[in-house]
Amino acid sequence: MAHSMMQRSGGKDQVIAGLMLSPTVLAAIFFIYAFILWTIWLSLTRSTILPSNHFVGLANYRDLFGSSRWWRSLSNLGIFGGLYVAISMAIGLFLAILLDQRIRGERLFQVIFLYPMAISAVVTGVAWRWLLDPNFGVQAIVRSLGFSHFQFAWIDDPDFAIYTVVIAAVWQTSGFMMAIFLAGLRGISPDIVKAARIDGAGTLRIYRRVILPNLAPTFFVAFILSAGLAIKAFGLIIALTGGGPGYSTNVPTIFMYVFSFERGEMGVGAASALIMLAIMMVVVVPFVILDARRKV
Amino acid sequence: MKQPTKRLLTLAILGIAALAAEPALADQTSLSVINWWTAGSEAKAMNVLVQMMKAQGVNIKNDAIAGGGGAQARTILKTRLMEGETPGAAQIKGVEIQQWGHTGLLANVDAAAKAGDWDKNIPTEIDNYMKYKGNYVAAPMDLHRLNWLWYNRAVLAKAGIKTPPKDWDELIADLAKVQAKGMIPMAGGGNGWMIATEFDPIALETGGPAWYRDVFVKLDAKAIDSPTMVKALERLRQIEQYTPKSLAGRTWNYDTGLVAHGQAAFQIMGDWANGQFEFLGVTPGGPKVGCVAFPGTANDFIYNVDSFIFFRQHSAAGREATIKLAETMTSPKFQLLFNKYKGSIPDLMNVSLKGYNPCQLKSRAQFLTASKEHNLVPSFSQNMSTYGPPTGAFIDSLDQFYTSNESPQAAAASMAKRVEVAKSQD
Repeated sequence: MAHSMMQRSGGKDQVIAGLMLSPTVLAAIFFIYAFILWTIWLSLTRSTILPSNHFVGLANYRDLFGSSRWWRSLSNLGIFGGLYVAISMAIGLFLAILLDQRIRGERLFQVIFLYPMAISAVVTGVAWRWLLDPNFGVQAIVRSLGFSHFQFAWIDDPDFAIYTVVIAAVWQTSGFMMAIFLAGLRGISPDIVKAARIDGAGTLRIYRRVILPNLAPTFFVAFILSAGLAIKAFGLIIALTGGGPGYSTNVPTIFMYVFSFERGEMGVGAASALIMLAIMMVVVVPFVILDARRKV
Repeated sequence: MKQPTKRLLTLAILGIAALAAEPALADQTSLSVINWWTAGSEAKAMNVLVQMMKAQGVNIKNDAIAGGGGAQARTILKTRLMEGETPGAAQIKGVEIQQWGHTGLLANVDAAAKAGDWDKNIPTEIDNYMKYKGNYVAAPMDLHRLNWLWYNRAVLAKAGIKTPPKDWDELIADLAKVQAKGMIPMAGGGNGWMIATEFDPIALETGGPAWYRDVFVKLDAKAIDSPTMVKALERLRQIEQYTPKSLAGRTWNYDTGLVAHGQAAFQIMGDWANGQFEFLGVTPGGPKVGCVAFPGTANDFIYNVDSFIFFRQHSAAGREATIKLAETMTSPKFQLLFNKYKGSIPDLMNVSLKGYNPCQLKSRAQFLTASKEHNLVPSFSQNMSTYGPPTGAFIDSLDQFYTSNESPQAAAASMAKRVEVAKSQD
């Protein structure tokens, strides 16, 4: 970051720029990297209710991967992350393409679709909890219309509750994905599209062969953002299901919180936090490298 | 250019100086008390504590932190300690008090114990939790009983049940009768903590106090992975069949409301439900709602005690204030008032329970008999019987069992395994 600033001009500006940025850089180094190092250390110690420096090697990782609750959290992250990223990107792209047809009232639609993103995750969770609650929500309403055997109680079913989290998360961020894709679509020069039209390509083909390939960087941004949101999801799930029924909708973030703060197993909590960091790396780093290569 | 810069610098230095000087200006005899009592009646009672301390010239800062069954409060406590900001007292209970004792941060409040004659007035079982290496470091606030069954009289009458169930078979028969009438037989099952709270008396009823201690206090793998545990889990499964799935995600006080308003017949819950019934305007033991010992545990008492640990203060005034706080928390006046609201009973056995409801009076009587007959057991679900990690292991196992088709045999085996892993974590 600072590096690109430096390249621009000589002596005096460089010094000033360096001085201006140094507090931020120092703060970042301390508050991000020092704490990552501390978490690594904690994960190797027998830290229970308070941090301790009693070294135990990889015992916490062994306990972590011996815990079926942790495996459940990981598999939930896989189910939730995969479905949420795919569906919210698909819906976002679809809405963006519809809005890109220069329709009337476009601004209004944009606002309507973007609005859920402005609501806090906790509020979204609570609202969907009521909607999905079989006693008051969708099931009750449909039944009151006369369909007395209509069943929709996913939120109470340990095998299906994770899908309710997908529904609420998709609802919240699809509009945001739409905004990203819309920006991408607007960035494609109309000349290319016109040229394709002159060559006699139909609309579907233009989208498949011209527009979507040109959207690759946008896909990249949308994926990074939604994958990040999926891995970090916490408040929404706490508000929607509380991680339940049982621990059937636990994800690594909830696991980490419970073990570090409720249960006094700070070492195990720290280990789980680092596994999350590793997942983030595995998902995001290849894309960053790909992106960097493309720019070169 | 020069002048403004200079002025700014001066201001900045003054500002830093003011910040640095702030702690020195703080009142020497003010103590912060970290707790998670934010519900109406509990907050009211804490307020009484603040007033009583004010009368003695001590300024109590009531740090009530909501949420997470105290998880947030504990997080804030740890953060403060790491910042070097020592609170006066914090709500910590059970075996965890010993863990805090190891840290060397706790204050010795023997003087308060002597003044209040805790040795004589507070039962030994409770006393032992409050001591670290022979010295008092904590004070108890209340005494809860867990093995209760709350029921709505009108619902039972509608189902043709004349008297509340006295043993397991009667309970199951009654649940079936209520279900046949199309009403909710059992309110519960909302979350892992609630499932564990319901399993608490079921386990005691199935295996008796000695086995209960082997499992939840001694964490004996043989007792955990045993036919008795399998039977207890089978019984939990039976209760589950009479608990509507639609109550998942509900809180215990929501369930209490269902029983209070005649929408459900029974609830298995500790006597904090007592305080909630009172809050809803139906006195347990009165004409609408009844309480009975959980079937088969009439002579037993699963206890849960909330307590505060005290932190070592740097100043003499601070140390004196800490002793006053411990004395006030265990004074008859405060304990009577606090527990009346909370639905529990005082830890002091030498005060008369004037104005308490019938269920609370029953709780006191049964504590005294259970204490004589060695039928007192510490509640595992409320973190009284062991450290956090093994307790968590039990709760996780029950959670998994309750929300899947796992067989009781497999659940008992995996419970023993989980507890074994958790043992290494304390």
